[in-house]
Amino acid sequence: MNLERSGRGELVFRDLPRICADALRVVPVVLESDDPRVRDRRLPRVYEDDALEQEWRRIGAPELEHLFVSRTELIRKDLSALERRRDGSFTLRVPERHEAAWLSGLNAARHALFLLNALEPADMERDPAELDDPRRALALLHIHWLAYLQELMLHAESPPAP
Amino acid sequence: MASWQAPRAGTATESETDRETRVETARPWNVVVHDDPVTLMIYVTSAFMEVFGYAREKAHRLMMEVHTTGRAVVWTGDREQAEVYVHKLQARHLRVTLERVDGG
Repeated sequence: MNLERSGRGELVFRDLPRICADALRVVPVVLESDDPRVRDRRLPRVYEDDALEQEWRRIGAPELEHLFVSRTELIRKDLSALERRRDGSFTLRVPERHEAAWLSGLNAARHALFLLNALEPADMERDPAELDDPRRALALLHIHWLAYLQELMLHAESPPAP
Repeated sequence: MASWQAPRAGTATESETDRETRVETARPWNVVVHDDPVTLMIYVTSAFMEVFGYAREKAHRLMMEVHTTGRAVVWTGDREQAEVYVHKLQARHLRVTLERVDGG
Protein backbone atom coordinates (compact mmCIF):
# COMPACT_ATOMS: atom_id res chain seq x y z
CA MET A 1 0.00 0.00 0.00
CA ASN A 2 1.19 3.53 -0.61
CA LEU A 3 -0.11 7.03 -0.07
CA GLU A 4 0.33 10.03 -2.32
CA ARG A 5 -1.15 13.50 -2.71
CA SER A 6 -2.89 13.95 -6.05
CA GLY A 7 -2.73 17.13 -8.10
CA ARG A 8 -6.25 17.94 -6.88
CA GLY A 9 -5.07 17.79 -3.28
CA GLU A 10 -6.69 14.43 -2.44
CA LEU A 11 -4.90 11.85 -0.35
CA VAL A 12 -4.84 8.67 -2.44
CA PHE A 13 -4.25 5.30 -0.78
CA ARG A 14 -3.28 2.83 -3.54
CA ASP A 15 -2.80 -0.94 -3.60
CA LEU A 16 -4.97 -1.56 -0.55
CA PRO A 17 -5.36 -5.33 -0.14
CA ARG A 18 -8.94 -6.53 0.18
CA ILE A 19 -8.52 -7.33 3.89
CA CYS A 20 -7.45 -3.73 4.51
CA ALA A 21 -10.38 -2.36 2.51
CA ASP A 22 -12.68 -4.55 4.62
CA ALA A 23 -11.02 -3.26 7.80
CA LEU A 24 -11.76 0.29 6.64
CA ARG A 25 -15.41 -0.53 5.97
CA VAL A 26 -15.77 -1.41 9.65
CA VAL A 27 -14.85 2.17 10.67
CA PRO A 28 -18.31 3.78 10.20
CA VAL A 29 -19.96 0.74 11.76
CA VAL A 30 -18.03 1.02 15.03
CA LEU A 31 -18.39 4.81 15.00
CA GLU A 32 -22.16 4.31 15.14
CA SER A 33 -21.98 1.78 17.98
CA ASP A 34 -24.55 2.45 20.70
CA ASP A 35 -22.65 0.34 23.21
CA PRO A 36 -22.67 2.31 26.48
CA ARG A 37 -18.88 2.05 26.81
CA VAL A 38 -18.40 3.64 23.39
CA ARG A 39 -21.10 6.24 24.04
CA ASP A 40 -19.48 7.24 27.34
CA ARG A 41 -16.06 7.53 25.70
CA ARG A 42 -17.52 9.67 22.92
CA LEU A 43 -18.71 12.27 25.41
CA PRO A 44 -16.76 11.82 28.63
CA ARG A 45 -17.40 13.91 31.73
CA VAL A 46 -15.87 17.41 31.59
CA TYR A 47 -16.77 18.94 34.97
CA GLU A 48 -16.51 17.47 38.44
CA ASP A 49 -19.45 19.64 39.52
CA ASP A 50 -22.78 17.99 38.60
CA ALA A 51 -24.63 21.23 37.79
CA LEU A 52 -21.86 22.48 35.50
CA GLU A 53 -21.65 19.06 33.84
CA GLN A 54 -25.41 19.04 33.21
CA GLU A 55 -25.23 22.50 31.68
CA TRP A 56 -22.30 21.44 29.48
CA ARG A 57 -24.18 18.34 28.30
CA ARG A 58 -27.31 20.34 27.57
CA ILE A 59 -25.51 22.92 25.45
CA GLY A 60 -22.29 21.34 24.18
CA ALA A 61 -23.16 17.68 23.69
CA PRO A 62 -25.81 18.00 20.92
CA GLU A 63 -23.40 19.95 18.73
CA LEU A 64 -20.69 17.32 19.21
CA GLU A 65 -23.14 14.50 18.49
CA HIS A 66 -24.13 16.27 15.28
CA LEU A 67 -20.46 16.66 14.35
CA PHE A 68 -19.83 12.95 14.94
CA VAL A 69 -22.78 11.97 12.73
CA SER A 70 -21.60 14.28 9.91
CA ARG A 71 -18.08 12.89 10.18
CA THR A 72 -19.30 9.31 9.90
CA GLU A 73 -21.35 10.24 6.82
CA LEU A 74 -18.27 11.74 5.14
CA ILE A 75 -16.20 8.63 5.86
CA ARG A 76 -18.97 6.35 4.61
CA LYS A 77 -19.27 8.43 1.43
CA ASP A 78 -15.52 8.13 0.71
CA LEU A 79 -15.62 4.39 1.41
CA SER A 80 -18.55 3.92 -0.93
CA ALA A 81 -16.25 5.21 -3.69
CA LEU A 82 -13.50 2.66 -3.00
CA GLU A 83 -12.18 1.69 -6.43
CA ARG A 84 -11.48 -1.97 -7.10
CA ARG A 85 -8.60 -2.51 -9.54
CA ARG A 86 -8.07 -5.41 -11.90
CA ASP A 87 -5.38 -6.90 -9.64
CA GLY A 88 -7.95 -7.12 -6.82
CA SER A 89 -6.48 -4.23 -4.80
CA PHE A 90 -8.44 -1.10 -3.86
CA THR A 91 -7.84 2.64 -4.07
CA LEU A 92 -9.25 5.07 -1.50
CA ARG A 93 -9.44 8.77 -2.24
CA VAL A 94 -9.80 11.21 0.67
CA PRO A 95 -10.61 14.77 -0.42
CA GLU A 96 -8.58 17.42 1.39
CA ARG A 97 -11.72 18.80 3.09
CA HIS A 98 -12.43 15.33 4.57
CA GLU A 99 -8.98 14.78 6.08
CA ALA A 100 -9.79 16.14 9.55
CA ALA A 101 -12.92 13.98 9.67
CA TRP A 102 -10.87 10.91 8.75
CA LEU A 103 -8.15 11.61 11.31
CA SER A 104 -10.56 12.07 14.20
CA GLY A 105 -12.81 9.27 12.91
CA LEU A 106 -9.90 6.83 12.87
CA ASN A 107 -9.03 7.84 16.44
CA ALA A 108 -12.64 7.33 17.54
CA ALA A 109 -12.83 3.97 15.75
CA ARG A 110 -9.64 2.80 17.47
CA HIS A 111 -11.17 3.73 20.85
CA ALA A 112 -14.40 1.94 19.98
CA LEU A 113 -12.57 -1.26 18.94
CA PHE A 114 -10.53 -1.11 22.14
CA LEU A 115 -13.66 -0.85 24.30
CA LEU A 116 -15.89 -3.25 22.35
CA ASN A 117 -13.25 -5.97 22.59
CA ALA A 118 -12.45 -5.40 26.27
CA LEU A 119 -8.78 -4.74 25.58
CA GLU A 120 -6.56 -3.54 28.42
CA PRO A 121 -4.06 -0.66 28.29
CA ALA A 122 -1.19 -3.18 28.58
CA ASP A 123 -2.49 -4.99 25.47
CA MET A 124 -1.62 -1.94 23.39
CA GLU A 125 2.08 -2.69 23.95
CA ARG A 126 1.72 -6.38 23.08
CA ASP A 127 2.05 -8.28 19.85
CA PRO A 128 -1.47 -9.32 18.76
CA ALA A 129 -0.18 -12.88 18.39
CA GLU A 130 0.43 -12.95 22.16
CA LEU A 131 -3.28 -12.64 22.94
CA ASP A 132 -5.05 -15.94 23.59
CA ASP A 133 -8.44 -14.82 22.29
CA PRO A 134 -8.36 -14.58 18.44
CA ARG A 135 -11.18 -12.04 18.42
CA ARG A 136 -9.25 -9.68 20.71
CA ALA A 137 -6.03 -10.34 18.79
CA LEU A 138 -7.76 -9.37 15.55
CA ALA A 139 -9.18 -6.23 17.18
CA LEU A 140 -5.70 -5.24 18.35
CA LEU A 141 -4.33 -5.76 14.85
CA HIS A 142 -7.19 -3.67 13.50
CA ILE A 143 -6.39 -0.85 15.97
CA HIS A 144 -2.73 -0.86 14.93
CA TRP A 145 -3.66 -0.86 11.24
CA LEU A 146 -5.86 2.21 11.71
CA ALA A 147 -3.00 3.87 13.66
CA TYR A 148 -0.72 3.23 10.71
CA LEU A 149 -3.18 5.03 8.42
CA GLN A 150 -3.35 7.95 10.85
CA GLU A 151 0.45 8.21 10.89
CA LEU A 152 0.62 8.12 7.11
CA MET A 153 -1.96 10.90 6.88
CA LEU A 154 -0.19 13.04 9.48
CA HIS A 155 3.12 12.65 7.66
CA ALA A 156 1.65 13.25 4.19
CA GLU A 157 2.88 16.30 2.39
CA SER A 158 0.68 19.37 2.67
CA PRO A 159 -1.87 20.01 -0.08
CA PRO A 160 -0.85 22.43 -2.82
CA ALA A 161 -1.58 26.08 -2.14
CA PRO A 162 -4.86 27.23 -3.74
CA MET B 1 -22.00 27.55 26.21
CA ALA B 2 -21.67 29.12 29.59
CA SER B 3 -21.03 32.79 29.51
CA TRP B 4 -18.37 34.59 31.47
CA GLN B 5 -18.44 38.25 32.36
CA ALA B 6 -15.56 40.38 33.42
CA PRO B 7 -15.81 41.43 37.06
CA ARG B 8 -17.36 44.81 37.51
CA ALA B 9 -16.04 47.48 39.79
CA GLY B 10 -17.33 47.03 43.34
CA THR B 11 -20.18 49.16 44.57
CA ALA B 12 -21.13 50.29 47.98
CA THR B 13 -24.32 48.21 47.88
CA GLU B 14 -22.69 44.95 46.76
CA SER B 15 -23.52 42.09 49.09
CA GLU B 16 -21.07 39.52 50.41
CA THR B 17 -22.75 36.82 48.27
CA ASP B 18 -22.41 38.96 45.16
CA ARG B 19 -18.74 39.42 45.87
CA GLU B 20 -18.19 35.69 46.39
CA THR B 21 -20.08 34.86 43.19
CA ARG B 22 -18.08 37.42 41.25
CA VAL B 23 -14.76 36.02 42.52
CA GLU B 24 -15.86 32.44 41.69
CA THR B 25 -16.93 33.45 38.19
CA ALA B 26 -13.77 35.41 37.50
CA ARG B 27 -11.43 32.65 38.63
CA PRO B 28 -9.76 31.10 35.58
CA TRP B 29 -10.14 27.51 34.47
CA ASN B 30 -7.55 24.95 33.47
CA VAL B 31 -8.08 22.83 30.36
CA VAL B 32 -6.61 19.48 31.41
CA VAL B 33 -5.82 16.74 28.89
CA HIS B 34 -5.56 13.19 30.25
CA ASP B 35 -3.54 10.29 28.96
CA ASP B 36 -5.26 7.35 27.30
CA PRO B 37 -3.79 4.11 26.01
CA VAL B 38 -5.19 4.39 22.49
CA THR B 39 -4.58 7.86 21.02
CA LEU B 40 -1.33 8.23 19.10
CA MET B 41 1.25 10.63 20.51
CA ILE B 42 1.79 12.28 17.13
CA TYR B 43 -1.97 12.84 16.87
CA VAL B 44 -2.06 14.57 20.27
CA THR B 45 0.80 16.87 19.25
CA SER B 46 -0.97 17.67 16.00
CA ALA B 47 -4.22 18.40 17.88
CA PHE B 48 -2.48 20.85 20.24
CA MET B 49 -0.97 22.66 17.28
CA GLU B 50 -4.31 22.91 15.48
CA VAL B 51 -6.54 23.75 18.44
CA PHE B 52 -4.29 26.18 20.33
CA GLY B 53 -1.95 27.29 17.55
CA TYR B 54 1.05 26.13 19.59
CA ALA B 55 4.45 25.70 17.95
CA ARG B 56 5.47 22.08 17.40
CA GLU B 57 8.00 22.19 20.27
CA LYS B 58 5.45 23.39 22.82
CA ALA B 59 2.79 20.98 21.57
CA HIS B 60 5.28 18.10 21.77
CA ARG B 61 6.35 19.07 25.29
CA LEU B 62 2.74 19.16 26.51
CA MET B 63 2.01 15.84 24.80
CA MET B 64 5.00 14.29 26.58
CA GLU B 65 3.77 15.68 29.90
CA VAL B 66 0.39 14.02 29.29
CA HIS B 67 2.11 10.78 28.35
CA THR B 68 4.56 10.64 31.25
CA THR B 69 2.52 12.11 34.11
CA GLY B 70 -0.98 11.12 32.97
CA ARG B 71 -2.24 14.68 32.52
CA ALA B 72 -1.23 18.21 31.57
CA VAL B 73 -2.75 21.66 31.88
CA VAL B 74 -2.70 22.76 28.27
CA TRP B 75 -4.42 26.13 28.59
CA THR B 76 -5.69 28.43 31.35
CA GLY B 77 -8.19 31.23 31.02
CA ASP B 78 -11.83 32.21 31.12
CA ARG B 79 -14.51 29.53 31.16
CA GLU B 80 -16.17 30.41 27.88
CA GLN B 81 -12.96 30.09 25.87
CA ALA B 82 -11.97 26.99 27.87
CA GLU B 83 -15.23 25.33 26.81
CA VAL B 84 -14.53 26.18 23.18
CA TYR B 85 -11.20 24.36 23.50
CA VAL B 86 -12.84 21.41 25.26
CA HIS B 87 -15.29 21.14 22.40
CA LYS B 88 -12.46 21.07 19.85
CA LEU B 89 -10.44 18.52 21.81
CA GLN B 90 -13.46 16.26 22.39
CA ALA B 91 -14.20 16.43 18.67
CA ARG B 92 -10.77 14.81 18.25
CA HIS B 93 -11.53 12.25 21.00
CA LEU B 94 -8.97 13.46 23.48
CA ARG B 95 -9.88 13.01 27.16
CA VAL B 96 -10.25 16.50 28.56
CA THR B 97 -11.63 18.06 31.73
CA LEU B 98 -12.07 21.59 33.07
CA GLU B 99 -10.77 22.43 36.53
CA ARG B 100 -11.09 25.72 38.31
CA VAL B 101 -7.72 27.20 39.16
CA ASP B 102 -7.15 27.08 42.91
CA GLY B 103 -7.62 30.44 44.59
CA GLY B 104 -4.73 32.01 46.33
